Amino acid sequence: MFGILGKSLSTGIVTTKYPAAPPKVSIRARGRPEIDWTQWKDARPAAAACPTGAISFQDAGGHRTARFDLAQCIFCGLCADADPAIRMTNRVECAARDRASLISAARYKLGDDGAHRQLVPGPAPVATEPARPPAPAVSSPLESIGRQIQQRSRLIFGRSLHIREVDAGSCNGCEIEIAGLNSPVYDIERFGIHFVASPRHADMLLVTGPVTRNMELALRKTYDATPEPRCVVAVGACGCGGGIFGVNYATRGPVDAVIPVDVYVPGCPPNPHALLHGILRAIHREQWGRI
Amino acid sequence: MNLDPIHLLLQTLLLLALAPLLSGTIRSWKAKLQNRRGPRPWQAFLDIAKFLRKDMVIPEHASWIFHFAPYVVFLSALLAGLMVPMLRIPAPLSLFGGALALVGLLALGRFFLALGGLDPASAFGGMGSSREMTVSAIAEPALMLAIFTVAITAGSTDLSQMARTTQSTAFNLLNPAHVLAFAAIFIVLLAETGRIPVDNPATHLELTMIHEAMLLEYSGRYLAYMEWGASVKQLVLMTLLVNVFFPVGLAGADAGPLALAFSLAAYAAKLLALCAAVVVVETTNAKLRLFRVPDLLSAAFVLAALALLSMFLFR
Amino acid sequence: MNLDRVSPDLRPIAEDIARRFGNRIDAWDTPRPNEVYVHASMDLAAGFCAHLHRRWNVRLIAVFADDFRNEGGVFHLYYALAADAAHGFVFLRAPVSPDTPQFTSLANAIPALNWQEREVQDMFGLKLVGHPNPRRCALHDDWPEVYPLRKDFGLHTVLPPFQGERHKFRQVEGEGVFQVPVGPVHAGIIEPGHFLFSVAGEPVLYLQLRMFYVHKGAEKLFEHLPPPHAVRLAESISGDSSFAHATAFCHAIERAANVEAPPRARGIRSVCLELERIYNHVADIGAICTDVAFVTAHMHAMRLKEAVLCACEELTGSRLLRGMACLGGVRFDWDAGQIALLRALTARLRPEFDSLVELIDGSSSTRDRLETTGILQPKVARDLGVVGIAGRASGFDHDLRRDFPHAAYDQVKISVPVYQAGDVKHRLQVRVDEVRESFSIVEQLAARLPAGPVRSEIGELPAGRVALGYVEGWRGEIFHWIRTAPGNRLARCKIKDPSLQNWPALSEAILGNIVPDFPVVNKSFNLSYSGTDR
Repeated sequence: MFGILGKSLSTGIVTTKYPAAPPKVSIRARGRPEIDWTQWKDARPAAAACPTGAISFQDAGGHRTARFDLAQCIFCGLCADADPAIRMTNRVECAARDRASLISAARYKLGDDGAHRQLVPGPAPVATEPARPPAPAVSSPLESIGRQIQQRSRLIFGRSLHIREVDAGSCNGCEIEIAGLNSPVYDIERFGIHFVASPRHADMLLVTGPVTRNMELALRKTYDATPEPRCVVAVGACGCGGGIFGVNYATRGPVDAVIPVDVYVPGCPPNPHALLHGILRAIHREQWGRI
Repeated sequence: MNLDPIHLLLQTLLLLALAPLLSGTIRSWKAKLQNRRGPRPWQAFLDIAKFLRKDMVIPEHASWIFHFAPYVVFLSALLAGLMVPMLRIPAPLSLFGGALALVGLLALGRFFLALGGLDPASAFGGMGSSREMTVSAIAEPALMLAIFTVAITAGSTDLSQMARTTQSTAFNLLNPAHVLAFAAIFIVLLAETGRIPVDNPATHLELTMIHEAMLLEYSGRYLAYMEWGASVKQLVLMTLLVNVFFPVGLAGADAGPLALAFSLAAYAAKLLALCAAVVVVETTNAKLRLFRVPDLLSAAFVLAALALLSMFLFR
Repeated sequence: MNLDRVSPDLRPIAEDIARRFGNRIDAWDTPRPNEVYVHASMDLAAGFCAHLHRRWNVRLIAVFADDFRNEGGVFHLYYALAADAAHGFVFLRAPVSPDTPQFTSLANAIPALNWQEREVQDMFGLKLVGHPNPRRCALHDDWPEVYPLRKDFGLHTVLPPFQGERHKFRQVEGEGVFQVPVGPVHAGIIEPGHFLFSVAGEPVLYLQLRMFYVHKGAEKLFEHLPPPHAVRLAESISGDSSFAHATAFCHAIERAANVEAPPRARGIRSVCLELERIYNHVADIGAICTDVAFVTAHMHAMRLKEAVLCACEELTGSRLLRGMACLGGVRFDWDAGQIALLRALTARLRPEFDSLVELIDGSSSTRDRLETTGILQPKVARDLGVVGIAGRASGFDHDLRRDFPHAAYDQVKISVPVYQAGDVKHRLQVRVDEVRESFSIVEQLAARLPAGPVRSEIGELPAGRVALGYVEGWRGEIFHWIRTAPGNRLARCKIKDPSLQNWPALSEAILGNIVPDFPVVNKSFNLSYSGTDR
């Protein structure tokens, strides 16, 4: 008994200061890729190197629209190997409330050799989303008045949040990092956030994907069993954008193809700091303790 | 029976306020021993406040029992709390039977808790209820016997009277009967509040749960009452332990504000010491196999029986 | 028939096969010295496997099918056998005509094949004959009559959403017997699967598993990706074995292309495999403790795991070692600073790990929960072909690192912990021994990592090659078998995760235990759902 207490006391508190302090991430870590849009001369090698189609382009009428979708990015860095205009940073806090804000695009004049000549200034045309079945109606009519819920959830969840984790088809990589949030290093409990066993106790569903055909119904049922107000956080490249699996005979693709999503946390899998950032962002607390 | 309304109100408020704080303190200290910062002690309040404001999802097959149970659990714990002297002797409420009524109220709460777990007909709720009943079938007699040890000295089953007696005969504190009974109730406390080594309050594993399994189907307000009720029950048992068995500093009926303040300080100190003991037990032990739990509780029962026996032997 | 290419160790077996079955064998193929293919008809399978098992103690590691209709007009059925002592693999390839799409089950004689044969039936539409339980396995009952791994089934076929019944569970009847369904969404932060317990009070009488909830069509997807992209897909077969799966895949491609990764790359691969083993084993040791509510040990284990993950990030840019594996070697070389970091890591973790083990051994209440819980008898383990940690805890002395040295494992000495008891405690003990072994392997390799390049060039893959890639992952042996197609593509990629083999053993180990002990028994196996379902 004294051995156990002694070991605990001699080890001391090992919890990070995040988010008051910046995340401790190795300089070699691969976080979000950064594209130098003005210097980018040819989107083809990077698009060919990208295993998930996060980097893509469309040629039309002598112009090329190049598009980068962070939601689908698995942070492998193969694009950076293929194209000097792309650089991997070690920035991991990428969570966004809005799916469209994860997509960046630019328009170029197309040259004869297939490389693009120069950036067309101004905002790129709204990137067209791949056709996706509309999210089916869910049981609650409240869904339509999202803003109201957001206000209410901010009021309610600010200091107490219960999370139900749902694996709707992931490879278990995201689960490893989510489980890490309970470790003494990240200690999500210090924010008043707990992982709970039942969706009835939950305020937030943390869903990893891609949603498989076999898990679709279970995910819907879990969502319906969660009392209002509630929010959904999609985790990982597969959960946010379908990832390397995409949509096929066995998967339905990203989480928002099945239930509405409030916050997207890209990554493959997201770093625990990124997960904390995403969860805190969902409850409008990502600045917690930050000066 | 003469009721003092102010005293009654104050003790109710104290119960409601102190109970979540105590649960929170235990959780916070445990976190510290697990090398993490952990939640703040008042986190339990924020959780309850949140749940009170949330919508509810009611299982399809739930009957009136499901709706009724949270109130019974909450109110029975609260009522039991009013019968235990917290800061002042006597306690604001003294129902016939005293200690017996207290045990009876706790049993009533547990009965409805188990019914509430069974009602939605989910497999885990049923399992939790059956396990809870198994545990309490042995824990309850041990609790009764241990209380009787003191009641016999006091010549009354009234809890305030018992506290008064133990207070007057200071040497009694180290009486072997007393120590044995104290140990017995401590074990019962661990079992009744769902703590390691009997149950794990922090578990996510639905198959191993006892107390949590019965709450799996509850949400929103009901869940808040259930959780609050559970923490009040924990506070009642702890108060029983520190004030009836160890009534140091407990103020008398005609105590002035200074004595009351001293009483509060002493009470808080004793509770914190007890919390620390619980935290140490929870940190250094693993959970028992379910079929070993009765062994532990039988030990509590034997301790209580020995206490009663030594009562007569060493009188 | 020419057996000259066959490795000397494997040759006696090949000669024996030739002697005994010579007249019934259509052809031989020896693409690599330790990989021999025997082409014969289906009816040879039972006798072939039985003989090799009796005479040479060869074990069946996988049975799978391949749609060869476009090239040869038939389906192929492969029986993959491993001769541990001879360090070689023997494959029996049998054609199945599309006109009579059926094959004979060996599951009665080899229970280990139960799920695999049914998966072939589901995915290829080859009917099983003589299987004791020929129900659906890989596809749920509500799936329409489709055979996803046939070439004429499109990857992007849209199937109707779930309707009807998923699985007909067996009913268990008796006085006081009731059923406890668990899942597919579990209470913890774990993967989905459905367990149905039949219990009498607390003791478990029977446990039925319904897996394949996270079937993501990975094997089909492999056929649609260029190999460099497929490496990234291999990383997502099972998240906790990212590097092992990716390396097994790369190994298969390298063998198909007859290219070997340079020595330095092999050294780095071994180190990464060991890091993956360490972080998973440490996490499991902690998780086993948390399942018996000994939270202190869990927290210390999580802390150590975090240290390993941070080191992985420093070494490969990813905490789960993703993006590190690549065809022909590894993607990133390590500088002196990183190798120093590796040595500092083991030096720091060794005493920490010892004190964690001491903590667990010193806690009598924890030991009481772990000993004699969830016993998997060696005989049962053998019948079910249980591999990896669970196999070694139940008396099966095997380890690909020793028996089939891959990566740089020929450079180090490996001792394999084997126990007979087969309970949770000994599955924990195997992990403890292996972590210590891993520390030593990492230290040995870090001390003498050969200089040189970390990557060999792999050009376009020649078509029509078959190859087996193998890696001892932390959970057990991982196989990737590929057949190449023209245009640098794969015609088939069969993935064999040890979990698929080990799941049925969980049903056996839990019998007679009580329901609240299930989580800790389950965790002591810690099988991958995603790796099983793919």
